[in-house]
Amino acid sequence: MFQHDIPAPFLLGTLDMQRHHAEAIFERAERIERQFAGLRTSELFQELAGKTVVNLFYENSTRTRTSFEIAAKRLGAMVINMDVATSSVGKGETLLDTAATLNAMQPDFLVIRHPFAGAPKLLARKVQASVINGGDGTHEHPTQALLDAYTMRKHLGKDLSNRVIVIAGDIRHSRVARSNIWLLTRLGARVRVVAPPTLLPGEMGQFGVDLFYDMRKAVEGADVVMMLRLQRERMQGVFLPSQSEYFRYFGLSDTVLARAKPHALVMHPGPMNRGVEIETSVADLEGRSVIEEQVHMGVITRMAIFSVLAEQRRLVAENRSEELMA
Amino acid sequence: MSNPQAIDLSDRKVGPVYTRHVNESTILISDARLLDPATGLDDIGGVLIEQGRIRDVGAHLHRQFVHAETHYSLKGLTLIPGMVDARVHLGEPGDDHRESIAETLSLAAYGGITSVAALPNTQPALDQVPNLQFAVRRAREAKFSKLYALGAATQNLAGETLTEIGSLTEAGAVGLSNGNQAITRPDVMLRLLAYAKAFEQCLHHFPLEPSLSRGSMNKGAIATQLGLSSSSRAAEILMVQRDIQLAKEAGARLHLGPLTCADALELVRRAKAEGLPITCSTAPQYFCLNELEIGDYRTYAKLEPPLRSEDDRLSVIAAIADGTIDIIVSDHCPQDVDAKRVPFEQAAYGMAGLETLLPLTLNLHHSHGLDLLDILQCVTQRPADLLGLNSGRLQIGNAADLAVIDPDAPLRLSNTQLRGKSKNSPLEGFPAQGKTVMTFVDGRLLFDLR
Repeated sequence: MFQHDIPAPFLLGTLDMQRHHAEAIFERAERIERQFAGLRTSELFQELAGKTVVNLFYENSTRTRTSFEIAAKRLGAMVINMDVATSSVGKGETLLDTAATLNAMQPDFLVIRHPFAGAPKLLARKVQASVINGGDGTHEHPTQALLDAYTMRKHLGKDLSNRVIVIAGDIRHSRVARSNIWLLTRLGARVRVVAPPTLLPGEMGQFGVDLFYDMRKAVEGADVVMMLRLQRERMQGVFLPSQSEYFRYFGLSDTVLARAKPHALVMHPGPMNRGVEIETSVADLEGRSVIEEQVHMGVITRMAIFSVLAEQRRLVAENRSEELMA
Repeated sequence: MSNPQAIDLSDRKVGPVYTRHVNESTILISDARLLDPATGLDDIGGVLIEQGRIRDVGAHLHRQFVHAETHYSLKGLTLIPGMVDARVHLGEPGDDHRESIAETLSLAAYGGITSVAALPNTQPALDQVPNLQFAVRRAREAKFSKLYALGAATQNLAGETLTEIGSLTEAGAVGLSNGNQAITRPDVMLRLLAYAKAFEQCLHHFPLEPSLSRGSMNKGAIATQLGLSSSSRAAEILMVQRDIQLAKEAGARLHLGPLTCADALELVRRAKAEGLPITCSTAPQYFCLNELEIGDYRTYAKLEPPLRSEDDRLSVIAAIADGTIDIIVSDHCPQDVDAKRVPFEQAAYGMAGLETLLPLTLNLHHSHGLDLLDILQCVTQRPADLLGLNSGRLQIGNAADLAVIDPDAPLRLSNTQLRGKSKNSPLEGFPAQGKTVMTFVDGRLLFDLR
């Protein structure tokens, strides 16, 4: 998570993430989870004490922003939520001008969510803070992928090699799908993606995943079935004929899930459209659906990400001070 | 780029099922010349029918050796697989005064056509499962030839929103079509082609750019002389070019037609040489007639696409000969007299074609020297394959859908002899050879003109 043209340690995506980087985050998350279990909520970690985290969200997202905020605050950081709608960004300021302004205020972490792919990287080149990608366009959502993989590890064991993981839904427009595909294949899992052809780019096959149109075949023998949210604007129009046809062929129902392994996990990054991509009885299936657990693990994983990045920042700073002394 | 497997609907598909009206008895047809384009069979022999299915085929089937409850000795006649017509306009539902489904299917039977694929451009369109089921139920009640429906590709054929292609497939749609309205938006076309792959459906597209084809006849000197509005060849050429490009990008099958002009056929020829899964059709009117047929404002010759020039007509024949054109369809479009007995510009498009498909197709053999089995393949096995039907061939186990023809019988086509109530054919007086003598559907003899 270093790159020569980016000043500070960062988390921008899973495509370039080495396996040991991911493992380091998982191990940190395990440690935090163990410690956290022994604490009352008032007793905070102080790892990020005195640090500033700025949430820069160009897209509405209560869930993800709150998850980052809680994670940072539990580590003792000060969190500023930039309300993009009422800030100077809304007055037409460019991303780079915002970056320069924020940089001058010297935050330690910048969490950015942006509607356009590549925006976090552009920002990362211009600031001294560590940039965390909270989702950019239809490109990447690395913290979601890390929390998904972490949740899977808890249930399936630390080694995901040869586990069959099905990702179903609007693959074409999903940053969650991309980040998950790249991370999970790096971890050795066998990833299957399933979607109607209009929502499944054929080039995905080059990423080392198996492509399916037939949901029932894709789910056969799966360890995990991860459903993606179908955006409302895709339901009616040129991508799909109707909501009911989508559910009929691409939704997760009891009968489809029955084809997976007996204890296969049901996952969803949320928010769900019950009855569109997932049947309520499946979404709430005791012992199988880990959808709520994903939210909990989201906070833990994001704490781990802050913690690992903070440590890397310290190392970088120490190297520099050595240089100065020499 | 190889596509993932299509969705397996084998446990969900229902209709259409045509097993209710099977002739239960054993029938032997013998002494006929058997022609089966699928296998190249051309021999004197017989067909044994049991329970409405072909039990045996070949030269060894003779009355002396086979016992059957019914026996037809057809010396001097030719037995072919019942023809399959992949493009038929229905009058019902919505325009029953033009032709009911039962009437359409009886005309098909008289023409030696045992299966028709109906276009979805009815009122209402066949864009929803109940509408499709209605047409098929009517066909089943009629007990003539079999009707299979092409599901509408877009809702209300508006070219904007996809239909529930999966559900239509489960209900028995044998392909997708947008009737005589081309899908003009490239983005809709691209996604439609992609979406249809999941259900292994082939789009039968009518490639005529509407903005260039609003006229009454082919663009050229004759249209100018007659003072008629005209449709440019470019309307067809542009759309064929675009469609091939989009099908290539989507990695999808595509069927185009009816095609009528040389440049469009050349595009298909090149696409096929490139290995793309593109097929195309034409209709007999485009290789039997040219724009001169309009003569003195004869509205029966007002067709869509329009009759083209003589050069185009010859290019259509060449394209059938070299295999660029895969199938021949009737493009049967019945119009009542009131829709045609009006000034040319106001007249409706289309011609009745079911009853003349056979003699006009045989014209390619008699007048242009094309091989008889080759041209019969364009109206039997190939359209059956396109539609995914288990017919169009003399194969043991298949439904006994058969036509007995006299391929050489001379006749002069006459509209008064057409059996349909819409007699709009521009082929009045056309000299041809070949007529249908008997038609069997599921072993039932529908008529006998011996």
